[in-house]
Amino acid sequence: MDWIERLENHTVTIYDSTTSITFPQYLVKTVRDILQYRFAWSNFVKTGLRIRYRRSVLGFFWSLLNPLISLVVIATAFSFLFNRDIKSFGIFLFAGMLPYQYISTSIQQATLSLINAEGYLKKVYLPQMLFPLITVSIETVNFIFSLFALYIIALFFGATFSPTVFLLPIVILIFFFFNLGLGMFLSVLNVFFRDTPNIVTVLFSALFYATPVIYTLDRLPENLQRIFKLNPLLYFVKLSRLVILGDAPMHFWDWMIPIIFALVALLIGCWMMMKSEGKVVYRL
Amino acid sequence: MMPIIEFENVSVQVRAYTNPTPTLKETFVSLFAKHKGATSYAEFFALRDVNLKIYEGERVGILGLNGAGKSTMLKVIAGIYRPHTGRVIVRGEVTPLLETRAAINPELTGRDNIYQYGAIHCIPAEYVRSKEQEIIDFSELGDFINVPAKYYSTGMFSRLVFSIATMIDPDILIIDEVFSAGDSSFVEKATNRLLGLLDKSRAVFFVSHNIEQVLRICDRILVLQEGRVINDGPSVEMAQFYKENIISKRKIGMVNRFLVEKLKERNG
Repeated sequence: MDWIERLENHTVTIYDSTTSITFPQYLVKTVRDILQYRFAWSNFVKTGLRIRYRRSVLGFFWSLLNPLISLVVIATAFSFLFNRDIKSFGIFLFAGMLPYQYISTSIQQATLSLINAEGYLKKVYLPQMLFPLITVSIETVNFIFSLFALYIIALFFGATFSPTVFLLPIVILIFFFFNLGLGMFLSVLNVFFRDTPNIVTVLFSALFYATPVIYTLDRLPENLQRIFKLNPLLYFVKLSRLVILGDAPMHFWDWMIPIIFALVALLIGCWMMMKSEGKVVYRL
Repeated sequence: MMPIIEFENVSVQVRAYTNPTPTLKETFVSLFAKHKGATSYAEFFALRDVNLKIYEGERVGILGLNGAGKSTMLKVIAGIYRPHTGRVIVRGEVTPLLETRAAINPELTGRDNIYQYGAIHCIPAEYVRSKEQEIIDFSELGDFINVPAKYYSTGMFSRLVFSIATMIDPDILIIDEVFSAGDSSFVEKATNRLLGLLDKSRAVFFVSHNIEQVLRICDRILVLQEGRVINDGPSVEMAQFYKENIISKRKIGMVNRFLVEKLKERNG
């Protein structure tokens, strides 16, 4: 049991109210925490995925079936309304809607992650950012599976294969950090202000129509376009569409804008975590 | 010799909410209301200016009435509660045996819970694997180990928790109350294992309402009242002090007093 002996010479200062930690130091500490608790992270993700579909007849198949059914419904309705070919509209819709839903469910679930972890936070020491991290990771795994499965179906229905899909891992990573950042921020906010999940849900159901998911931006009047361009999700949906479909040239800013948003979200999330550290457990 | 656990002027402030989760409307209304109904809470000290040094080999018992701050003290040592002022230094690894339902996910099977506990406490998976069979045998769960813990009887549940939580040899052991283990045959087994763990650990913290139990295990006792350490010394004298000065007078603890006041207020 060498690992226990190694710890025995270890000094752990649990808390010292006379010294405070700077933000860069906190970021370093966060990375160290994740490395130290990586087994807890992977364990929670694995069991979380397993619990979700346990005892359902179709099991993991639902993570494919769920988006597929909503895609078919929306594609049928709007291809009829907009008078468009259902196949090409369906493919266009798939490339935008799935990433949108990934952002929306990740952030909504992550908002609840800290209060749902009350049972753990009050009984053992765990770094609190672990819980939004776990939630977003679970949604990411789900997203990757459904994206892969639906992409194959889309190819079958006549989507053209584009080599840009091999850039998808980078895109997913950018999405992941964006979701994690906002998720960390909102999960803490929810501890202090329990209306947060309701506001987030309403916001995302409105954003679904305010983001060019079922339509393209150029269908809107000029002055409305300018307002819609303030919505960060637009750039995420645009990037994922460019990469999945490969139907338009990519520009530098198509990548840079989502990257900047993801980094800003991550910094805001970490800052919120730092500000609330040691306070959350008293407010659950 | 360096103390294993050091408290320097440690205070913990706890909020007791009458309405722990104000909604948007309530928060908004209470911004203007004279009588702050929605966000009303009272802050009281669960621990107040505690100074403490625990050295290697000491077995420390904590006596106090409900709400005196016993559990809070253990949670501060375990790193769960962060004190609002002061400094806590712990030199070593803490094994907390706090509440019986500690960090068990009822949705997971007994076996999955073994691994989850290991992961949460940063115990290497190989080590957990080497202990897995021993834990299952000790808990006497048999085939039930593959059933989600929510289907367990109370006795099975506490047997599982006990067997998992005692899988590692502790460095600094902190125990809150005695693990309630279902049937009498298990209690005996559990007590023996607990006594074995006490011998292996460098320092022991023990909280119980049962003076006899504390006397049997501990050589030093802290007497807590309303968040303060009001006496500290050899166990026999302290047990005597506790009986004479606290139990006989039996003051209402801080939390209880707060609730009584709130009730009076509400009833006009």
